[in-house]
Amino acid sequence: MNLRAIRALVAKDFTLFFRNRFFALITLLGLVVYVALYFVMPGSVDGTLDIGLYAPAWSPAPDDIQQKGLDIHVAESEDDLKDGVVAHDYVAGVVLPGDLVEKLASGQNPQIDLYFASDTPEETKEAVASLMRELIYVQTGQPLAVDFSTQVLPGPDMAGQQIPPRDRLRPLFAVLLIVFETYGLATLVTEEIEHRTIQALLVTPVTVKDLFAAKGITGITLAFGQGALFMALVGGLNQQPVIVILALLLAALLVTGIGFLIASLAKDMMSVLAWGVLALVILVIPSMGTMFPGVITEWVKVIPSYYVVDTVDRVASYGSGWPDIWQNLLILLAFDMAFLLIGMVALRRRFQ
Amino acid sequence: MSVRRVAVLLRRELLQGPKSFIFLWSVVLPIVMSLVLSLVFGTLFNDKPRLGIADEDSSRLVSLARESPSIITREYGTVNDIEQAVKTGAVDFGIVLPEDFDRSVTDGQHVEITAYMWGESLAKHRIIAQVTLQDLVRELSGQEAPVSISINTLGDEVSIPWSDRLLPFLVLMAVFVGGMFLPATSLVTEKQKRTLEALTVTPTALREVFLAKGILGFTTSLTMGLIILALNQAFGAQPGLLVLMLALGAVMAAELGLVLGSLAKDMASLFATWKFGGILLFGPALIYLFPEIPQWIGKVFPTYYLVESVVRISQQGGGWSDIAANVFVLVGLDVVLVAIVALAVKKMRSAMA
Amino acid sequence: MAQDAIAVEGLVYSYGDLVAVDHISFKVAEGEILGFLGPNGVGKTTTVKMLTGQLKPKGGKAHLLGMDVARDAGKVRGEIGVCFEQTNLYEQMTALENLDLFARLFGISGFDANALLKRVGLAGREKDRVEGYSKGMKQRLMVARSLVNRPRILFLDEPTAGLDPTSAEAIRSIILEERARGATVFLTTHDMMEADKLSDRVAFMNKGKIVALDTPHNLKQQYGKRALKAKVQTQAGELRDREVVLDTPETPELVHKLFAGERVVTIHSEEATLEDIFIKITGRGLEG
Repeated sequence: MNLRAIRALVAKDFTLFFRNRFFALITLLGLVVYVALYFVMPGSVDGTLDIGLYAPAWSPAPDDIQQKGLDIHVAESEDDLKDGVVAHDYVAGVVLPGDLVEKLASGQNPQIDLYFASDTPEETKEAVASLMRELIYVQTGQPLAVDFSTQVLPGPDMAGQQIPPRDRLRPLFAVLLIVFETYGLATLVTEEIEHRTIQALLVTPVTVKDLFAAKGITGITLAFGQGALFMALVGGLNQQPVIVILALLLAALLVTGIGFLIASLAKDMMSVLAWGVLALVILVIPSMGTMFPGVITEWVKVIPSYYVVDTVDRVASYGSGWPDIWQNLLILLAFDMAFLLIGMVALRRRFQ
Repeated sequence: MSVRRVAVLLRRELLQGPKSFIFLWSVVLPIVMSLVLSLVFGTLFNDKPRLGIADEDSSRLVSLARESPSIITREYGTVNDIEQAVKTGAVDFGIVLPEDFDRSVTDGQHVEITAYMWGESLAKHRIIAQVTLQDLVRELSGQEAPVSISINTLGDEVSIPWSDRLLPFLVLMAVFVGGMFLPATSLVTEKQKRTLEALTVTPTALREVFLAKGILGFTTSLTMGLIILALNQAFGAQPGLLVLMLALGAVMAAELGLVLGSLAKDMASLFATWKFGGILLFGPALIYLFPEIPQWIGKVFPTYYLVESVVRISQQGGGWSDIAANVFVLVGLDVVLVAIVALAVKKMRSAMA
Repeated sequence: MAQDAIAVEGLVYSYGDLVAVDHISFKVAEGEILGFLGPNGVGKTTTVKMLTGQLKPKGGKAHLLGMDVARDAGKVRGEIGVCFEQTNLYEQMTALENLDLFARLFGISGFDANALLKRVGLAGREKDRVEGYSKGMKQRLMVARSLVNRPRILFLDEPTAGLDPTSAEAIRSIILEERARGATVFLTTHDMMEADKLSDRVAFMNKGKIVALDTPHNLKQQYGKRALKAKVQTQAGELRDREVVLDTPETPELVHKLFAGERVVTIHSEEATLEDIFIKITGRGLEG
């Protein structure tokens, strides 16, 4: 391989990339917007049920019903309670009547008033009603004869430390930034074919291998650069940065191979768009698994980007280490090699 | 400006347009996404706790749980299945009902239930799932609640199911994917193949070419917007107002497409803009999907005024007074874009001279 | 004995069932200009592509400067320069950048792009992006690019097609300068006058075969006829064309009859053109 020629070709591609100021600006702005979106998303999880309580005749009430996941806000009056509900200070307002204890003691059914804002979902209303009924059962000495022997899975209980929505989106954004560069690389190659500059290159000492190497380096640098920069800016490299960087690099290698494949299939730039959309949609699917845990079933593991998303998510969000993810990286590397090989073979035929 | 020439150009666009991938994309993608997201992913945005049950007998608790509005219930065949579901977060809470569970509960016997809790489940989901389960067990045992609960609703706002929160996203996609990218790609292709020059050395003016492409974008955009609303049965009580808003949005989409097409030198630039512009356009939809995001942020996006109006009319029963301000903003934006398009035409004309 | 710059033996290429190049053989000496003539679709470009390593021959052999084109493609490409028929420049780059890139690809250090651009008449425009160049300027740059590595063999495909006379003449001068430098030039063209002017020898290609290969002079001698072409004025005042073939026993008498019988307005001698010869040999014109 002619390193000098490869260097010259890479320099040329970057020159052309930044020469198109609009393209370069949009790419940069895109990165900025993704980062901004990340910081705009909530950084914490609201895991508690906020309930307002007005119970003038039952002072121990808050202690009786306070439990993990429940935040009781005591209101001074029923009007204050209602105002709090309307202002969405709490999900529900509970009024325990003054004669509650007396009525329970005498075997009568007291009435508990619940107040909800009109946009509260029905299920929340029912849930709070169930909570209140259960409270009263306990108060009247009717505990449930069923015990739950609970085990937390898969590992440590993360109550209060759940992954915030923005961190769930992190792998998705990083993968999006990298996967979009499939277009970038495919257009780099397709443009050269369309404008016939590839012929001009191939009648010099540059070989097809040199060309692949140069395009590959350009593609990987653009893809990896954006992905890594994004993760660095949003704290995605705070844990096990080496693993995350390696995963992103392998992801960049993957999209390079896919980019080559698209360039070999595409007749022109419109075809690049068509194939690119298909690739994008498929590659983004595994990211849904981090946004919506439990949604993704086993079949998703045939999509190579799953191993990027899973690795980045587990490392950046859960602090996983090498023993947990080495298999992912190995499988990803195998996919990379396969796509690179297929892409290069297919593209070589196009050149010839 | 010759209406006849514009009609001739538009006819060419309509005949050639469907042959292009972009046209197919702008028609198929919103419809497919509408169906997929509404049918399948609508449940994902649901905030209800998810309960998994593995029933070793045929307990009535399962059907009671399914009927409960407070939780989503999923059945699993074996203990392993339940464990796996909890591990992956498919359910927040999983229980294994032993044999003869119903009889034991009815007889007042003490029963031990194996339960699994997803480590990442929210505390509020845990509470809700548990108290709901307890409530259901009591119902199963025939116990009568020692208290009556009166549910009172305050305020005027309406609760919007999560599946409806997807509507803004679908409308935006329908209106903007075709409305913007059809004229943009058409313009860029004509520039690259130099057919634009061939046109403008005839009596055809460049603004006529732009207008024809803009009409194509507008028509596609409006049609797709209407189709998506129809698919989601979201016309509300004021369909005329909705059509007005969609039309204003379609104008914006077409104008943006023309500006984009005139600025982008080639397809590569167009792709880059799609990459970035997608976020800019669909930002307001994200605001609706994730209400934790401060709503004022949505107002920065030009598409917010369309989305907000569609939601107000179709989901909240709003009328003219609720959306009048948005109409004026949209009209204003459309007028500003007309000026920008005119500038783009002028610039392109000088560049071609 | 000096080796041939180009030695082709039984070269074959086919696209499926279509035989585009059908067992052609020829040699080109170093420092020679060979004009490769023929209408579109006869196999000229395919031949050039095989010689420049863009296509692998399906049969036969081709050697450039003693190197097998199929086996030593890399080495061969270091010694050749190619100017394509259709422009394929990096239009977003300047002329300087385009030439510098190729100089680096050839591994040339200390390359003076400015001097080369001056030579092709692009001085003063070197820092402008190619997208702003006229057709003639782009073609000059294409030629300049093909000279970056001071090639020993220069392949030029229609280098002056569609150019204004000034640009065309400038490029022809460069071709002659290259020959004077000792380069071998393989010139593919439709322009028979250009081929006639520049080429030491011309090869006619038709339906994948070389049907004639000789100097223009010899071809004209062999296949052409010289004639006197006159315009005469009739009694009615109309102008008519007359032709008298030269170099025959009857020529003097015919010439005498011409002048005696009619009022000659203009008269000049004319040689057969290469196109005439091509038509005679193949039955079809150079334009296809």
